[in-house]
Amino acid sequence: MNSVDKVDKKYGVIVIGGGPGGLAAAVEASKTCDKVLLLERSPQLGGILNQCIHNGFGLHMFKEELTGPDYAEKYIEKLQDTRVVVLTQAMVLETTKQKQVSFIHPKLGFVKVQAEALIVATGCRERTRGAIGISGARPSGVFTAGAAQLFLNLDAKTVGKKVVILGSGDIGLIMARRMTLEGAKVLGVYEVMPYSGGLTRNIVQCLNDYDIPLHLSHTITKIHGEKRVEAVTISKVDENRQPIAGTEHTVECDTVLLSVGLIPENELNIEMGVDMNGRTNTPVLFDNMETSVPGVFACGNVAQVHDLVDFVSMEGIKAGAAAADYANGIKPSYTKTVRVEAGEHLLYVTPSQVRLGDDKKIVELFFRVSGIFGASSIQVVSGDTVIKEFKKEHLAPGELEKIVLTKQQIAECSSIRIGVASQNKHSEYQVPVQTVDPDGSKHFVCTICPKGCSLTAKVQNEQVEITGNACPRGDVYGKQEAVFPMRVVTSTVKTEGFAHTFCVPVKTTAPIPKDKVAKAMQLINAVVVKNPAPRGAVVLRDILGLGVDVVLTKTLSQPI
Amino acid sequence: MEDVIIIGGGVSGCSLLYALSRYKGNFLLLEKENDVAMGSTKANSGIAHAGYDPEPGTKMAEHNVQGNAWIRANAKKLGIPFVQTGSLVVAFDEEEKLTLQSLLERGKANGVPDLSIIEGQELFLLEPNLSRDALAALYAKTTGVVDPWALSFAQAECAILGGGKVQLETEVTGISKQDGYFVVDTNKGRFEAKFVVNAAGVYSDEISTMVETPHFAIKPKNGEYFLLDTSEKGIVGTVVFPCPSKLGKGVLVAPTAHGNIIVGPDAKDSGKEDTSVTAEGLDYVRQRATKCIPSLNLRASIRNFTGVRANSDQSDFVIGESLETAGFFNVAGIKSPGLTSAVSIAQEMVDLLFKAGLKKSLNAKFVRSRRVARLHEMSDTAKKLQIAKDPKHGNIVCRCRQVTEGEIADTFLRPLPPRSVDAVKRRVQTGMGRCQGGFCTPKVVELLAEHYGVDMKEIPQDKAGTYIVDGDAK
Repeated sequence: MNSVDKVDKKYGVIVIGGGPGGLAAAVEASKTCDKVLLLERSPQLGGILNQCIHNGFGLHMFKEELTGPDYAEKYIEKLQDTRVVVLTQAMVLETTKQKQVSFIHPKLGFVKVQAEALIVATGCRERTRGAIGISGARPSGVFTAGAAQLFLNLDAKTVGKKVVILGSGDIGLIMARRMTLEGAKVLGVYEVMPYSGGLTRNIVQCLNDYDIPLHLSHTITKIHGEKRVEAVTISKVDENRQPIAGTEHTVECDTVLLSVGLIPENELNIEMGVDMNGRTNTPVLFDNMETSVPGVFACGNVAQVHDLVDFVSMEGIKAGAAAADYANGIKPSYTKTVRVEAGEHLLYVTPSQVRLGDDKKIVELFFRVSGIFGASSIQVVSGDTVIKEFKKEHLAPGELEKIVLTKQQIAECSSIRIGVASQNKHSEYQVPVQTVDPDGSKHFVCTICPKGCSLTAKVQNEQVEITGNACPRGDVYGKQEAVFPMRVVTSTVKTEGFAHTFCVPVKTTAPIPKDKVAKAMQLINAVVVKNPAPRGAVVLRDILGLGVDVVLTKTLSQPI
Repeated sequence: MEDVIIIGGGVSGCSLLYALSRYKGNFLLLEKENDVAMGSTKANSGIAHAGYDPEPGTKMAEHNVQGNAWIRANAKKLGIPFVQTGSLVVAFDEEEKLTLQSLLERGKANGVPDLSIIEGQELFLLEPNLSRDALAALYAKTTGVVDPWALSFAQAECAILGGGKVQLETEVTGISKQDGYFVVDTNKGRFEAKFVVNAAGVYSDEISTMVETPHFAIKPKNGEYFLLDTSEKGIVGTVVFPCPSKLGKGVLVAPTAHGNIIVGPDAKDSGKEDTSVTAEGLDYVRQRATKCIPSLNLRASIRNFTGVRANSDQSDFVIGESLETAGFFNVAGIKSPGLTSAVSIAQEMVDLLFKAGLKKSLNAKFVRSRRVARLHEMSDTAKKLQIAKDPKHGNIVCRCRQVTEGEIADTFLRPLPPRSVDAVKRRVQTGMGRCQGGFCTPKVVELLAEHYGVDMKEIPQDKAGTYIVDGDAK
């Protein structure tokens, strides 16, 4: 990785965005292209991962469970072994169809550079109050969940004490736990849909662990407060998401967090005349992540909103490899293209076109479904013929689905349609809460995979028996969760030796007993770390005598 | 002792301070909020109306037409975002076509230049997205869109540089006249002046009552809006109005001076501070707007807001000296087209003050113009020079509107430095884009806290008390 004082006029590949998609794309492109430029508008690489201090990242890419900052840093380490030219604080102002990129930078000024191939990895932004039109007064205290996360995790500032969260997307759920750990009272999460858009694991570990109620089919219909938020009116909604008169009640609070969806930041793609999918506001893509403008590629959340950063990286790798090929004059060799369309019960499918050539063996397709489904099958249809079926136990809009086809399966088709065939549409969604019978049996939901088996744990003679699990992993999870639930704690600690007070993220090196989390937080809150310190540095050894350390998940090295 | 105290820092008060600063004297503007342009000026359509609406012979007609000319002539040199877009009043039936005719005649009587009625091909060439049910439209070339905040700041800033004073967070609690001069009591102490001008917007009736027998009452009407993303730019090129009714000029669809699309307002009787948005109000706006522009994409809304108009029980603006208390003047009931008229009303007020005895002598230190450096408006070469001069201009804070740290830093050096996140927004458009400050608010809070040397929790979103963060996490 080269940080530079000047840039050349021409590059093989220019990557816009230094988040996980752009990092992966740049690293991959540099394997076959000598001249790669990575432009990032923030002072640091890593994008949104820097504020996602919770864990759950990296199982696919690094085969270990990492926090967001860990994941970013590990990828930045990969970048350091390459010859990619990296510019942070470089804000792209304009891109053209001819792949000329104009950007500004505090040291370099206003710069124009020419790319052979361009990768747009600009991520997404959050939907705001204005986009969803909540009625009522307009006091301060209404935040998107991500903005509150930035204040809390990067600036070490709390945004409120009594919090209502609208929307049960993962960021909202994660922030419910995070704000609770930092001393706020989260009064409830309200979701307009009859199901949660977040992962089961997050509902269990972020809401249930802290007795935060999740109210489905409810929404905020009015915000009150002259200066700061003072209360919200909550209403139940009907099946068309319209508030039901007479169901209103008021909840006093000083803060509203919005976790109501993400919007891909496709402004540069639109400016270049890239064909867009009007429904999702994402670019129409080929299977190598190329847009309709030859040599312009997209990856990560700008291409589709992901659940897992690992898949963002994988898309980046695809885009990086293809862009480097393009820059090297290697055009995709193909004999035909197959169009891919979203069929029954799909919100979208990507890519939209697959180019079939000699070197292609498999085709990966990603999509989201439009409702909750029980046992069902995903069908790949060509004309009137079902050419492939995939059985699924469970489908939900909150989960990005992936299917893999072989070249042979679609070689004869000019277009295919992906759809869901199910008898179980809108099967009743149950909020995964734990209940206990009078005899001590516990009922709870397995969080190992999205299927979410309903488990029952019977304790007899110190032996735990789990029923309801579909696989052995459920048995292991159930036995642990029923008797001795364990959690990894992620938080931040104060720093010393900087002009500004800010925090660095930390985690426990292993799960600790759930009932020790509050005590552990007290100890963590008292820690002050001195500059500099590497990622992995122990800031608390053997916390509470549990044999678990608390370590930094980000290197502390900024100049004073 | 001040020569003139102006009560209220809306566009009326700021315009008057600027107009007065052309002359020697002690001029003080008192504003109860923590910034100027905080009342009706803060939230309105931002239109420089042509002047065909008001009845001929009214003050509204006179000041509208003159104000429009003033804005067209002066916006650029004062660094006020302004675009002369032209406007259409659209007729959908024969009766409305008659209305167009009478508006045209009224406009001519008021002295509005460049008015014509267009129809058919010509109309749809001008506004291709206009409903094909439209029969004809009154086309007014002099209508424009203006940044109402900049119109206020620009004048206030110049006035201060020329010797005028603005005192914020100063609320008038009483006024009395003794020994030929006025004593103005406020929460920040007592001020004295030879003349007092009441430009207190929705509160102007309350201020007037401190001095004279009530002769007008403010009857506020609020109106709700959608602000659409710049992605919708081009859906209309002119300000598109339906035919006016008793309720007002109707729901317009217009570009803003910053490249967004504004849609609204409705008109409802309201409280003086009732800026809440309602589902009913927005539904009404949606319905009306799509009648004119059927393809309008309201899903591109980035913000809803409500403004309160300082309407009064009088048919015309209330401008002039008190009949009971000499030296006390009202600039009140400044309803639409108040934004356009304010600069012209200020001229009339200055003349009235001279007639009442204010000494007339030119101020050699008068500052008539200001320059505001906006990176995204500069040529490539100018961008290079600007960043070379100060690297802060190469650091983008607001991504959506491409506002640099340098532009924010500049506002701290100008008169009336911002004290809140929204005050920064009103000056340089941070947080006015599609992410609505999701990304830049923390940085703006940080810059404000740094500038004032206070903790981030002392920085409000807007008015005092609208705190953003409430403490330290650890």
